[in-house]
Amino acid sequence: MSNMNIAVMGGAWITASGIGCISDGKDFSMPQGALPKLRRALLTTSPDQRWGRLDNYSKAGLIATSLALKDAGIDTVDVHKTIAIVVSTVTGSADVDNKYFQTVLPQMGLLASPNLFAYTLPNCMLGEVSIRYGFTGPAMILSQTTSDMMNGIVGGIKLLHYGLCERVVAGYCNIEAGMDSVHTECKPGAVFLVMKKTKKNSPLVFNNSKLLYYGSQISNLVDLMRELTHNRFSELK
Amino acid sequence: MEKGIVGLTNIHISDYDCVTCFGDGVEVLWKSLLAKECGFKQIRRFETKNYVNSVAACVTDLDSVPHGRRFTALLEKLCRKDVRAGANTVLLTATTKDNIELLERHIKTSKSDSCNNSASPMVDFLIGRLDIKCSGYNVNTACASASTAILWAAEMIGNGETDEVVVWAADIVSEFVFSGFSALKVMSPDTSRPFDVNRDGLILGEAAGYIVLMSEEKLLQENKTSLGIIKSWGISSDAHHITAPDRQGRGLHRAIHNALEKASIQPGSLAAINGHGTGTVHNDAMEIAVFRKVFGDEVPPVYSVKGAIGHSLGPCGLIEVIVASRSLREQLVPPVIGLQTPEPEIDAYVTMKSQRIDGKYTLTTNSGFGGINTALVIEKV
Repeated sequence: MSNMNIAVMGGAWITASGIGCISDGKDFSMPQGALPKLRRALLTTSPDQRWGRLDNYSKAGLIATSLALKDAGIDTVDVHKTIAIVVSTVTGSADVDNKYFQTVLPQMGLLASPNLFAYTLPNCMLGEVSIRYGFTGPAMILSQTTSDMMNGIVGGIKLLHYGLCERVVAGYCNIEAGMDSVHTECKPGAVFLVMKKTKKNSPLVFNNSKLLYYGSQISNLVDLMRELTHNRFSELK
Repeated sequence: MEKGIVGLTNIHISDYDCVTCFGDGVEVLWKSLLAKECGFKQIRRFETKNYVNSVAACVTDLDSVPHGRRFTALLEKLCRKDVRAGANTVLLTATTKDNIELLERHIKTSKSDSCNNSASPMVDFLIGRLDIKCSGYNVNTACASASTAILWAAEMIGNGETDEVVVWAADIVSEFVFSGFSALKVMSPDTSRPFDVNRDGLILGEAAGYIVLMSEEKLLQENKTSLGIIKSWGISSDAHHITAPDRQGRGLHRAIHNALEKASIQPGSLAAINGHGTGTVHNDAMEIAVFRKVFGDEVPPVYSVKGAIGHSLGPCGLIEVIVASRSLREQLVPPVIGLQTPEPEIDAYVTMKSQRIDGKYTLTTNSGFGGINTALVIEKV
């Protein structure tokens, strides 16, 4: 694979330390702990019919995508149509899996909730994003099997390289509920970037499955976000 | 849209195998399909009296396996075969709910909040069992998971990232999933009738399979026989609904269009279509509309295997690539089990009996919850 320059158009995060985006001047950190309350106002000020039915994992993904798109200056109505979305997760829909199966047990399935079941597939969060923003590119969930939390970012960059999309929203999404039930060093949070390929020289370069920032290899999501937030003015657009 | 640089190498299928309700192996699956057998059975592993139906295309051997171990037992059936994995082999898996019985068991038996599981049991199991050196990960696009993993694998090989990828896919019939599809009212009360005017839902199934993809160079180096070429692919989202297809099928249409364009082949060059064909009212109507839109009055023979082996969710796309490859090699399309009165829009193209074909390309399509659609073009070698 030859060098590919990547322009980071915008990015946003929800972590236990707060909510932020690359251009707002906040520093990035990703500690263990509870995520901030995921309020509808973070997504929209208008009443929203779908909001109430969403599980927390979908809410986190939807809000983080919305903030990242806003950070990238992409209008929520006139959004580019060939945007893909790739997200990695450790536990995905485990929280709603648990809640759904609790509805199955009491009367041997008679009260099984179709609304909860619909969100027991982690990629349904991507469906919610695609519906809201009109994304028609590939939309996929990759399991996060390593502690770097980078599968989604790298997967998104590969989609750009493969020519399967023109822009990509890529990142990592995991709510804290359910993380104590698996072996993982990953942290709770939703961290999304909006990226595109660029012919211009860019600090962020992908080569042979390695992600380089000003020539230094980036090995995990926290380091990448710290670089992007420290160098925000040279990176964005 | 800018095109990828794939095309520098052919991506060959060098090996595959599967376990379905008909038993172990591709041969028994193929023969059962041609013999018009239906693999639906009464479910024995959990109580079904409050659900829409009580049947699924279960792998019989798994009924006696203790709850919580069925998923790995299903994978183990395939691992018994000498599945090779080279030093650079990349593992991709495709499962929708992995070993969901672990969660069921935890909720049923434990008062603690922790079940201390692997985050990705299928990946961990296969890496250990197959001694794969590279790390792997699971691709989840619901019922299009396996076909997405296959096209992802093809991109990796086509772009020179690796010369060999093994894609494994599996899902089991669990109470968790069965109850959910029953609650969504997308299961038929009796049987699956893909593309039939009287279709009224799907029947769930379980399956596992793997497919080894290699670059042409690697195939020649290893003196392997090609079982087919993954010629091209497309993937697109509906952006419409999370559990229902876009009635106009715009996502599937884009996926098929992109696949045909990437392969530089005309729609008329396809010998057959292995459709998603779940037997649900809306999925099949959407597919029929798209096939007519793409192919006009020259739709090639269309079939679905889900009337025989049920809808296995995550692995269905992989099993269907295996069947489509076999179909191309034999130049024979299997009948659509369960079909009695074809939808008028497609009655000239769906097959209630085996049908001879003549051509070198076939198309497989899948659509999944979340609104994702895939199309793969397979070439006969």
